[in-house]
Amino acid sequence: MHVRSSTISAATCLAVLFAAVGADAQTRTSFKLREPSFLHSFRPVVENAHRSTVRIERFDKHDNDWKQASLGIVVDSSGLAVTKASEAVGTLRASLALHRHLDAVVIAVNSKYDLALIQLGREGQFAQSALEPIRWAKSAGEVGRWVVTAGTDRTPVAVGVISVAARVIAPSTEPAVLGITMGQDRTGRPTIESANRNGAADQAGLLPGDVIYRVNDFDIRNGRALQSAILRRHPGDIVDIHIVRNGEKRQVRATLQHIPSQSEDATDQWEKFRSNMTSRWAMMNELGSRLSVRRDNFPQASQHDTVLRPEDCGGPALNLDGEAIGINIARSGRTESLFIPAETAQTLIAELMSTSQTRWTSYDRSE
Amino acid sequence: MQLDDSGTNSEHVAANGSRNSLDNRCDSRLQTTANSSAKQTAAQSKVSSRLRRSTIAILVFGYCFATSSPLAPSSAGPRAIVIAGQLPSAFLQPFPTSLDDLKEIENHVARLVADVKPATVAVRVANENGRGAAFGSGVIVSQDGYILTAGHVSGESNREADVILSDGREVKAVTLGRNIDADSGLMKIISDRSDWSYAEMAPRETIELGHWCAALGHPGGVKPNRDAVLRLGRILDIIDTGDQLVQTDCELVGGDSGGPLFDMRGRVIGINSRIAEQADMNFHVPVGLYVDEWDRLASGEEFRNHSGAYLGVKGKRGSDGFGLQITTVETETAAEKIGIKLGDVIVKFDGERVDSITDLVDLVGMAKPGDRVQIKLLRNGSPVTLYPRLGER
Repeated sequence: MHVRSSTISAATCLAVLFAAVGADAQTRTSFKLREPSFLHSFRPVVENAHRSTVRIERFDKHDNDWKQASLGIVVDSSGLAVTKASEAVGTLRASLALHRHLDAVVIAVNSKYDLALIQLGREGQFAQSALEPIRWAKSAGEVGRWVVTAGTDRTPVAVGVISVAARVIAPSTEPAVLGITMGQDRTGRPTIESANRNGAADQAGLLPGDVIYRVNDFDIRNGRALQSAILRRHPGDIVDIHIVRNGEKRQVRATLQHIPSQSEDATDQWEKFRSNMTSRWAMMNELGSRLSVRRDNFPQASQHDTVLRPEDCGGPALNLDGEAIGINIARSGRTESLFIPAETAQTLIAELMSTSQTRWTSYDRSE
Repeated sequence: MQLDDSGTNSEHVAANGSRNSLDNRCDSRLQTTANSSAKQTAAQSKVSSRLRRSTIAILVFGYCFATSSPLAPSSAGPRAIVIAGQLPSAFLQPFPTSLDDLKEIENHVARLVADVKPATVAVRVANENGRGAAFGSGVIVSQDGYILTAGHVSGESNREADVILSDGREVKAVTLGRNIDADSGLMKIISDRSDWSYAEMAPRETIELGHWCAALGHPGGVKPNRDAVLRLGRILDIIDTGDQLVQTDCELVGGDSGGPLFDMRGRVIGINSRIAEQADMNFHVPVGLYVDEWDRLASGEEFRNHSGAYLGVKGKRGSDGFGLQITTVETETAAEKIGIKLGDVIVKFDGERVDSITDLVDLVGMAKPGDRVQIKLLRNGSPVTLYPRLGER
């Protein structure tokens, strides 16, 4: 009895069937959980919560347009919200169901959990019509229970079920990148010769010509120091980049990224990395949905099977009672999205609020 | 458990069962196997590259894995619990319409997943080259420890594999047979025990479009602080032409292969097999195939689906010790039409050796009805090459 090599015919058959299935599916009622008609049945869940949800947009200078960067959660009626910190870079604005195009300024960050506290709007804007803070659930719920992701509309963004109870999410081993071509000024300090479109530097608002002299607490005197400051970090890490531009010192927050899958200036090291087992897994894990840049390295996170876009993270994950069981913190893989459980989230939010000062009181931030 | 990318470079298991590493390109093409005893057939080269591009990604991946120390043995887990009687009405209507429906669903699913997790396992099979291992999932379906998994997880029969139970304990298992085309595979725990937690297999006719289902598995490989991962979805399509597969929107990825798809009674209705690019293209082998072909799988047989193609001869091993000497040519068959005669000794079929009727049946079964194939035979000692067009059984 032979055990023969498989022809591609089995796969071919299936390939042809995909086309046929696609055509058929148009005419048949779709049972997909992502169907708008199915999401409609969850509207009662977000009746209140959608008013406590924020949509954060970042200005894209290439397309000259605002693009959704994340969702967020109102945590205080005076105009404080939390969102996913790694997406809160660049020029931001926020919208809610009842308020459009508010100012949005980051006033505190928790890097471990990738949370940012944001001040919305102008001073006194919500004195008359206070914002509704989210209602939190007492517990994060059991595996198998619905998770409803609210947006700013009356219909939820997406639904799924809790897949795994809260646990440590380890960091990946991938190196971080800033997405620039480096030059140097006459003192040897690294400059930005060009910034890759929508790379970390570009999204943060860095420009060609900027001279980088500090990254977080590290003085940067040359190109090698900059490379080492970046390489030691993980994709998704937020760094403070201090630059000189036209004689003026500035500071921006940037979210480091993953190596792009098709990197033209890939060195041997990157090629080797991309070709090994771990990155083959990464490639499969990215099939069918885009993933958040910061998608791992959380001290604690619960997991659900909701298919979320990265820009739909940062907002509330709700139970059927309309209470937040957590903050959607990442789209982490083809089969998983992560949320920070309610109890942990509330502790983190309290910490953020107590360590920050609103920009409307005297705000003295030391370098 | 950290992925160890600095360890020995381990090999993928390709979708069709070989130990080839997955193509590095982003559009995860299928690999033809390079099984040591196999060769390419002429039929394969006929496949157009356009069809080849359609992606069915491979689900199992391998990496170096430091063996975790097994926990102290505990008493046997719960036996299979099949939820009998009427299911909550929310599952019986086309769509949930009220919050009560949704509550019914989640109450039921939360309870169900706790019931079926004990039968769900992770599987680790060492690669043939001795470096690294492939990881997948499986489900125990009998008290004496038979495990359903994917054919491309269990691989070749009669090899030892490690099974990681839901409580973290590790046990040894032996790989049994597989249907390479269907991607079904069977294993059995090596043990005298007959009290393993297990799940029932559903009768094949109970699978219908729209049915709610739950997939469990270990995406990314088993992790010590993580139970099998739940995905809830519905049956979107039942493919029954050529391949037999069930499509759901339970998202799957590498490591999920071989894991169970359950119905809302807690019965196994499918085994995770492969995916395509879109998030709702996830494919499972229907459990009916395991039931139908159980004896062959349990006996360790590795086999393929027969296409139903037909040549129309009977024969016996050639008197010189090789080839198939034809003893019957049936009327109005491909063999008769092309002029195969009694006494001809068929030695090759599409470039592959033929030494028995079983060889010929297998080779014919791998081609399709209507294919024109090449037959090399000896007629009174002289070589003759014929090109019959295969009929259908």
